[in-house]
Amino acid sequence: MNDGAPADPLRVLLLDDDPFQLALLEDMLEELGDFDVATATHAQGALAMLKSNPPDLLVCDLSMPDMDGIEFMRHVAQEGYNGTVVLLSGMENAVLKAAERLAMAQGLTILGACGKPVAAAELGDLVNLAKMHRRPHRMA
Amino acid sequence: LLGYHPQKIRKFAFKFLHTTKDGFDEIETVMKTGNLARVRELGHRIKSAARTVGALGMAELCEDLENLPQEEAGAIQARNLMARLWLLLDLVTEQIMTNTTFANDD
Repeated sequence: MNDGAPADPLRVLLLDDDPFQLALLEDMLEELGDFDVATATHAQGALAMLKSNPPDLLVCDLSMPDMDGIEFMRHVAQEGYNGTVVLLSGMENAVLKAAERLAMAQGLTILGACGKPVAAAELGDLVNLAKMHRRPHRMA
Repeated sequence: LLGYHPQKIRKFAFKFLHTTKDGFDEIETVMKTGNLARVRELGHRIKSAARTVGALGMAELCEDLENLPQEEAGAIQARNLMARLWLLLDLVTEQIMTNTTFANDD
C-alpha cells in the first residue's frame, strides 16, 4: 500500500533525439531501481512535459536538432523548473563543462555533466543524488 | 554498460543496427537536398551511439561527418564518408550477427 508521497518512485524525464540512447538509458534505470520514467526525443516536447508534469530529475542530451542545449536550459530555467538536471553529451568535455556552468548560472540544479556513454555506476550515483535533492511533490 | 546479459546485449546491438541504418538513410536523403547542417547533426548522433557499442571506427567517420566543411567540399566529403560508412555498417552487422547468434541459448 502506498501511504504517502515519500514512497513514490523518483520521476525522471529522459531527453535525447536518439531512440537508441533513450532505450539504453531506460534500461539502465530499470536495472538501478524503481523509477517513473518518461522520455522525449525533441526539446519542445520535453519543455511541454516539464510544464505539465515536472519530473524530479531531467536527464538531457545537449545536442538536439530543434534547439541547442544552452537554449534548452534557458527555457527550462524560465519555466521555473526546480528539480535536478544531469547533462549528457557526445561533445568535448570542455563544451560540456561550459554548458554546465551556464546552466548553473541560470539557477538550475545541475548534478553532473557526463560524456556519452554514461556508465551505469555513474548514473546510479547521480540518481541517488537526485533522490537526496528531491523536493516535496508540487501541486499543479 | 549492460553487464553480462547476452539477450540484452543482442537486443541493443540490433537496436543500434536499426537506428544507425535509419540514420544513414536519412543522411542520404538530406544530402540530396544539400542540407549539410542536418548531415552534421546526424553524424554527431550516430557517433555517440557508435561509441556506446564500441564501434570506434564508425564513430571516427561519423565525427568527420559532424565536422564537414561548407558547401561543395562538404558535399563531396559527405558522399565519400557515406560510401565508407555503409561498408562499415555491413561489417558491424556481420560481427554482431556472428557474436550474438547464440544469445538466446542458456
